Amino acid sequence: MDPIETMKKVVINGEWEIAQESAQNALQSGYTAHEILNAMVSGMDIVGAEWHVGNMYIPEVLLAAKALHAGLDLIRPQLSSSETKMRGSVVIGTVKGDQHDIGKSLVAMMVEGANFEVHDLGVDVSPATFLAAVKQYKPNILAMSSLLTTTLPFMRDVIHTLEEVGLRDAVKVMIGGAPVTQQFADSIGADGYAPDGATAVTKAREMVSANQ
Amino acid sequence: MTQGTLKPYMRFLSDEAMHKIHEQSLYLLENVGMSINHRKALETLAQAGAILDKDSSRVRFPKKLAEDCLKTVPSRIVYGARVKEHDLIAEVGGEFHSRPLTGGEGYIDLETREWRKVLTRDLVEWITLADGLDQVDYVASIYPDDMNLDTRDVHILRLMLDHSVKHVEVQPYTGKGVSYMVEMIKAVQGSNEEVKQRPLLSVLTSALAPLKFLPYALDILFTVGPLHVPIELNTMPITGATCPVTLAGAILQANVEILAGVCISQSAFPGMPLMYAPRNLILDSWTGLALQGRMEAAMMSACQTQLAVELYNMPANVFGAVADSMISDTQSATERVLNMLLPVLSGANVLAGLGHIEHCYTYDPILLVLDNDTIGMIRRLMRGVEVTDDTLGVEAITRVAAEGNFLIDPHTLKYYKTEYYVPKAINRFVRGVWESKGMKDANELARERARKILTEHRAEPLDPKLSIELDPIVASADKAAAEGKLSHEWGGASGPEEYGSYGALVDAVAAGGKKL
Repeated sequence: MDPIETMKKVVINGEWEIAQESAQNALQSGYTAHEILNAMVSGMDIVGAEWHVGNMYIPEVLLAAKALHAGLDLIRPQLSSSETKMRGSVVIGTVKGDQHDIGKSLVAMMVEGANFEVHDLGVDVSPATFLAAVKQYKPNILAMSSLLTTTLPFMRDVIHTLEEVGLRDAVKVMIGGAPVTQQFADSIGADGYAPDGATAVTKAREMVSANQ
Repeated sequence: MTQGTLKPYMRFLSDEAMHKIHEQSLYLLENVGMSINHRKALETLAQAGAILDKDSSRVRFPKKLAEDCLKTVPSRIVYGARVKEHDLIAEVGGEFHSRPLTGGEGYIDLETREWRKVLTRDLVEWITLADGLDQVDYVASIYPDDMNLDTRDVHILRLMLDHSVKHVEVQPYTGKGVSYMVEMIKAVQGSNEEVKQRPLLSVLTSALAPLKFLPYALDILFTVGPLHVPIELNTMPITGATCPVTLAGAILQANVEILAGVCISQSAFPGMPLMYAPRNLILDSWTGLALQGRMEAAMMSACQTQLAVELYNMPANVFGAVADSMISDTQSATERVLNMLLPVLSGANVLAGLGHIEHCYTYDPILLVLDNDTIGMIRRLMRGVEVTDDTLGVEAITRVAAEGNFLIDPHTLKYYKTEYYVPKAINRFVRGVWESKGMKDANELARERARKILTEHRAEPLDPKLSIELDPIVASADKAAAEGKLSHEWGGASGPEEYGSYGALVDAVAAGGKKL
């Protein structure tokens, strides 16, 4: 099979163990890093479409993303900085007082699979830590998760903190988690709410294209 | 010929499988351990022989510790009620009991059928309904959105005591609020001794999968432990996300988490009552949602029940009335029946979650009434089939063969009222009659019954002398909250923040003079 077709298939099939070898092979066959990147991204787009209609499942999506990132790591030195720029960047964390992380991790992985650069701050993240990360990474999106109603007020605190230092307009804020509702998101002035990982990916894409 | 009552029993796990799960649980407890960043728990466990491993930041439990603690955990738990005739005994091999959902925040309006966040008036309606329904054995907390979060647990308990005479279970959302709740129960029951004998309150706490206990969850345990207030010990691992994807692996991990809870509670408070109460969830591999209504959840509950009652001689508590649908529909009915039926056949002592929809999130008064019927039917199932010379009715058959029918035969008259459980919200008519009566489905019939109960039923009020004692406790909680001393924040002083690192926490435990 043509090495470029192989590269696309490696991503679609989530074959991350051979992704770098396949990328190397494609380079040696004369394909440019740019062409290899496009092949992988188009494979990922197919995975996304298949997932959307229920033909592919979360583990397969995550494996495909893993394959894409493995391949990307190999060809990165040969890509221009504008090409390696991801679709966007996201800082994500579970708010202070809450240590539930699986939902947040699932969203982080799915958003990363959609070609975002993701900085996962973990759990029990204070407003100060969120602020420091926004200053450091200058993300497009700040995403916050919570499973406990009793920790929801911290989401409001984070938004206030951003306002106080004049950084509120520098990021789009997206929130999610079992007790979170659209109504709550509106009440604290969040830019978006996603009830599940798939919607988070869609919303993240909307948020960055709105910026461009 | 066997005479007597024949009860059904379903057994998924072989002896060998149960012992394998147990053996692997002990292996994981000893070699992998749990993440527990709670000073009192660590002190207790260290004294009991557990290993505080600084390299892995985990506590490891030697086999002997686990085995000793399993010996003291009771097989019989008394759940006291404000009115003694509603007292319950949850005992391995005994009858099962039912309770409504706790932990949810949504409510479906009885009349408009709209969803909203729970309001205080919904709590009153819900508890009144639960109190008035004959197959609902005890009541559980429901969380109004229009209450101050800092003191919500305390106010919820107050209202539950006012509106129900049945045993009260609260799932606290603050570690600190629990001490006020304990004070309230002591005030109503009169003495520590009375609370220990027939506790009016039980609480719920939970591990966090994988293999962790949050500090606030242990704060709850240490606050109620001295009074032996029963704890429903949950863990909610999600298959393929926070526990293995296989049923066996999910059952194993949940077992490790619960056994760790047994070790902590029995080391600190030997003989403290606990319910083995796993809530294994299933990751939907398409949407990523944690679901409960599946057949596999019912299967896991049944296996876990078997482990609890057969191997550990601990009462088992399962979910019960589950549903992943958003409304009371066919999906809801199927899911809840499967999840109630399978574990009860394996000996579950509590079926929880009555009245709930939307995977643990929403309370629906219509479903509470429908579940009441289902519990009644399951209770009838567990009464068994009585096969005796009398029930066989040989004489009755002989009589009727000669002449007539059974309609008013003495045998029929003797048994007809007790032999069958008749659900309330069901159709019992032919089509023409059904049409003439308004073509009502089960939901509509349940709604009518709910309205009737809400109109006619009120719980016997709390003795005013006791009411007076509760007011100052609630007021002091409100005052503490106003002064910023009672907050709903988690983590707490017993968490790692106070010490900076697990290693520092372990050093503090050692410096406290306890032998490590």
